[in-house]
Amino acid sequence: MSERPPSAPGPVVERFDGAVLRSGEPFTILYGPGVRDVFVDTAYQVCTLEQVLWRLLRVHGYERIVFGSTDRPVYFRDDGSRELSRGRALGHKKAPAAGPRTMRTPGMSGPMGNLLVTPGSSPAEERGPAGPPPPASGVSDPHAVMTLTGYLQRAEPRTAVVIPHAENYLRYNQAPRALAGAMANWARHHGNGNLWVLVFERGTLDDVARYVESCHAYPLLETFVRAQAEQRGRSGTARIDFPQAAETERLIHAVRLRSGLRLGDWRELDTIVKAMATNPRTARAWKAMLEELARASDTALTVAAIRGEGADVPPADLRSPWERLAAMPGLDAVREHFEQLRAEVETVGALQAEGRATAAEPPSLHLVFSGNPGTGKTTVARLVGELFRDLGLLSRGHVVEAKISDMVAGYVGQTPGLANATVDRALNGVLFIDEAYTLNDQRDGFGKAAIETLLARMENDRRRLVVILAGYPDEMTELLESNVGLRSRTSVLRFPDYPPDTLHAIALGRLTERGATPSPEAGARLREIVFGMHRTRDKSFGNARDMRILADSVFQQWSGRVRAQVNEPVTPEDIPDGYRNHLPQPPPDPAELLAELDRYVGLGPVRTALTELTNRLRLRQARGQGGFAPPHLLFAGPPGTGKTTVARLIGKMFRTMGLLHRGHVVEAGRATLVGQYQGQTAPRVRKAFEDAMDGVLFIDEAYSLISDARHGGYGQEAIDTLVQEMENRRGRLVVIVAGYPGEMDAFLATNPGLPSRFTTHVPFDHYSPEDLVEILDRMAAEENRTLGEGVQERAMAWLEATRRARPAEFGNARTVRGLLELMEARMGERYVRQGAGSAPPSEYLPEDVPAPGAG
Amino acid sequence: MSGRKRIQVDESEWYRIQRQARDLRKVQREVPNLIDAVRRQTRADLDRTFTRVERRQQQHDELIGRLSDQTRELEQDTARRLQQQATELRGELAAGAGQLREETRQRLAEQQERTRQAIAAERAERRAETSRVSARIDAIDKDRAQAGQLVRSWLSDARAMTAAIAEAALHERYAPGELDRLTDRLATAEQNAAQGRFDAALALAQETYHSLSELRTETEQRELERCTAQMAAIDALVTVEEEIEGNLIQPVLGPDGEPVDGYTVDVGFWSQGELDRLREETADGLARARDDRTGTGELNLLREQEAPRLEGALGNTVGRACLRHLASQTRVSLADAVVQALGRTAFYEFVDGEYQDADPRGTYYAKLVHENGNQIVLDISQAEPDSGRHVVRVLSYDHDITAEAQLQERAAAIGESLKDEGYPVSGAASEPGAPDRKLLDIQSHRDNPAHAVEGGA
Repeated sequence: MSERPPSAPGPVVERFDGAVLRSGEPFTILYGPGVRDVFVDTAYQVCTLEQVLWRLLRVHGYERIVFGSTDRPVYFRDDGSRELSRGRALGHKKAPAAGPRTMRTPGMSGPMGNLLVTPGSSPAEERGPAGPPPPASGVSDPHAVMTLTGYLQRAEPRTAVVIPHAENYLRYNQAPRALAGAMANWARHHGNGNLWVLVFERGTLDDVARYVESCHAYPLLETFVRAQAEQRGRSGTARIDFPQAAETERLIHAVRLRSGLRLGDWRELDTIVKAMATNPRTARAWKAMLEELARASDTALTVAAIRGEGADVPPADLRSPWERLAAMPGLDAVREHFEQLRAEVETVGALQAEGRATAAEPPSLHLVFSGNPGTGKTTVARLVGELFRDLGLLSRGHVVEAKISDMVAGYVGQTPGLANATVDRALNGVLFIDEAYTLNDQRDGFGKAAIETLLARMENDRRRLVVILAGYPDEMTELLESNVGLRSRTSVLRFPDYPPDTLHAIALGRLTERGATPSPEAGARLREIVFGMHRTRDKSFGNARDMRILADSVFQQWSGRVRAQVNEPVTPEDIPDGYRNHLPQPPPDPAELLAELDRYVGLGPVRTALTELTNRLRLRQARGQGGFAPPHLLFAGPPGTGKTTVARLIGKMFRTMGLLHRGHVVEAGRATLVGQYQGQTAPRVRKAFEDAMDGVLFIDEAYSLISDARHGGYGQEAIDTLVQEMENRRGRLVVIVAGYPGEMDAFLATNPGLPSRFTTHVPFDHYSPEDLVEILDRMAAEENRTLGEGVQERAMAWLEATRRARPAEFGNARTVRGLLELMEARMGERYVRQGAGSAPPSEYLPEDVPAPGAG
Repeated sequence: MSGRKRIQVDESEWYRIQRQARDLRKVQREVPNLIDAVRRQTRADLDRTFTRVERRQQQHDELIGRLSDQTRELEQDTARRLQQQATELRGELAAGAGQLREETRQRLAEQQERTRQAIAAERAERRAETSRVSARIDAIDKDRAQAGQLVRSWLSDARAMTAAIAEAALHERYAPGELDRLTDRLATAEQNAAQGRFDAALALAQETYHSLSELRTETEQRELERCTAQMAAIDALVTVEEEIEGNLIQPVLGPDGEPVDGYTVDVGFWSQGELDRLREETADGLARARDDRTGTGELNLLREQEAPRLEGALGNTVGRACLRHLASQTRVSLADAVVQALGRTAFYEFVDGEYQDADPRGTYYAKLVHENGNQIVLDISQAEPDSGRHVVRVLSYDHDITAEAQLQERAAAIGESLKDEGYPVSGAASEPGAPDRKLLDIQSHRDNPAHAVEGGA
């Protein structure tokens, strides 16, 4: 713990920085949770803010310190100030001697001398020389205001006017008009060395501003406080916070020496002090708690007692924060950053000790934690408070974890106040804002207001505030790019995803930590699962967090099986089904795999391609190797040749082969991928990739993406993004582009990256007439109809004639479906001709097939 | 404009008690050595008055020596009684000086009446005896020479009595014309005697002599009566005079009615001339009382009405002076209270205070200054002359603001704070007009004092 050298002779209190008294502003506003607190100064005296303030003012050269409150409109805490204010011309009246009552005004005399002949009271004149000064009774507000402002206006003696309960004073003053006028006058003419201090109980300056506004009586003060609340400098205002470590330690000693508090174990003192200082609570509350402990004869101050009070004590971890940081896996870069900082602090300390360092601005300590979920950002953030406190860079080192709702308000104008209030809570500690990038996309610019407020405080309070912004790498990059101020004030620490080995170790560690022992086999299975999870991870992958979830669900299943037999090891059967798809599947039998295709006519080239892939896979698995990245496919062929159908099948098959984790198919086209305005296209493409992760992105009619290339459309952007995403997500999904062969060549030519990525071309040829008739047969069969004798020949003749007549429109399978519909119509006609009562026909007859060229 | 705030403060408890005490007491009679002082003051008067009485009695005694045998005895008896009466009266008056109470006076009057009756009875007897002697003379009418001698003797006594009465010169005051009538009758008797009608002359001479003797006795008694009234009036007025001097310095009474050590009221100063007028009036009355020309009726009025009136006026004057003195202190005390209140509630500082023209009987001004330069002058005066209620005017001279509403707020706050301080504020209102800036100059009151300060009056 470092202790700042006292800026003034005499005992000091760290959390009240006397610098505020030198602001040069007309008013000095004190506020915050500490203003009603007690303070333990460096002389171990417990005193109130009024006493601390009085002492500071005296040290700052104020000869006369006068207070004003609702109950006592003008009062003094010391005889000197009172003497300076009363009886300057005639001296102070001495205490009356016994005897007839005499007049109290020196120099006043009538025919009976100074004998008092009226019943006037002589209040509270009698007091001992050491006793507290008598209150000035019955001071009227108009005169109190007149008097206080009179004091302020005189340059001599140098005077500070303190309003210790400003809320009440402003609300209940009987002379608000005079007070408002006095404030305005003072604001215009201050600068004679006098000071006007107002102490508010509000927690934040924004609350103070709101309160003053609610009085509707003091426009100038309103303006001043509002301006200070929104201004970057905030000079002339000081937030009195909860006690810091040094003061907390003095409090413990003060109670120990005065009330006999015992310490359970002196070695715990440091931990206790830190825990107490980190817990936002007033010294008054801690004092009461400590005195309670002191009163109970059989209790002592221990870590447990403090924890019982709800303080955040690191669980039985007596390691230093540095040791704990060092023990965290995979955070070398983070560790290096803090070690570097530590070295720098040491160097600066040494330089200062030798008097060689000038008082340079301290470096900015604010940080950006960029990383995926579960990479240890929060854990490190909590450590950072302790680290900085350890380095003497923060006096309390507590961590306030703020959500967006703590920073951004729902109504216009409230955001700065809310954000400031949150920052105020974190002063002398760490403000940790997780998912900070969401500040960027808050509606109506509220997020921007929050960022601006935050930036101002990061700059102004840099000596006693560390802000940590955390979030996904991309989004954080975007946030920093859009806010130069943030970027220039923060150091970015990257929290990489844990490598699969580390993740595996984390999962096993968690299991072991909970008391379960995985068998080697179970360990191996878990490793496969973890590797699978890692391989198939997306943005939502929780890294260490997901490992904990995995371990916990295994533990749950294991405990369900073994019950009290805790010596039973964890075996592969304890792995929940939900995780088993990450286990390698037995290589599929090609025949079985391709059986799906048997339902379809033709598709010879498709079968060939799939069979090749299956064979590769079998080979690798047989050699104990993992899978390979599934290839992107290009389907070239005319419409109706089964491309879409096959794409769907491919997803399933690849999943069966273990090449894709999910195997679903996301269909996309120009309408879904290409935007109408600048900037819309790339996100659409990325969104499509996002949706298709671990499955298939099927882009039919892919060449239509670039159909507008000559007109300055955004198709090219779509293609470029496509290439980029294919690279980024290599192995995680399969892109299938489909279209007419000639147009697909043009498509591949639009980006040089395309041909090399679509290496597997699957041609979908026109069906042969025989294939078409076969399709007709299957289609009819699907409807429980049969083709009668001579139907096939007649159908073949019709199809041939149709292709010849309209080759461009000939849609192969779709034309066959049209033919079947024509046949059904004719069958229906035949059925009606036969008359009611006859059985409906199920067999197509040759007469049902239209003549070639007809229909 | 709210720069002038008027606040009425009701009578304080101290003032109320003081006022009631003054009313009940009327006048401070327990002046130390009052009786001695009055006795000293009236002794000369007594001596002067009774010396004259005694001188007349001496002259009378000489007269008696010259009288014939037949009247000498009668006159001796009467003179003895009158002398005894005068001596008693003088003794009583001397003894009761300064404390001539009504019963004493009553007793003296009754005594006088008894003496009068005793003298009258004696005389009636003598007259009857004289008549009997005259009848005997009728019987001895044959001795004309003896009769002529008897008539001449009576006429001579009558002439002597006439001369004595004229010399005493009281007759014209108490029985105007009576001596002339009797002198005429005496002349007739002398004519009768000259004409030798001795019987007629004797009867008339005897009758006239008796009437003259009665006239002399009557006037002497009336004179004694007047002297008594004069002494009583002098006594009463001198008492007032002594009371005036004895009440010149008054103790200050605390709220418990007991004197407060260390403070006195100079009644002469605080009565604002009332006491001087009272002195003059008392001196006037005394002069009239001492004036021998003043009649008994007027002397009685002086004693019965004027002296009590003056006493009452003295009580009022003293009471008012004391209350004014207290009110003056009250003004400063109120100023003190308001200054304290403003100090506590509004952080004003007292810088200077003075009475109007440095005369404590007038309005008190206190000046306060706020650190921001604002000033307040307190103007504290009685609501009405000699009233226990006060009016505090708070005159604000604010530099920092000119907004009427805010000035109103401050003024209202001052009123509230005074009420909160426990002052019986019965009314508070804003007065129109801006406060006079000249009032800010407190020093000017001291520079131009209008009156000599207290004690010099």
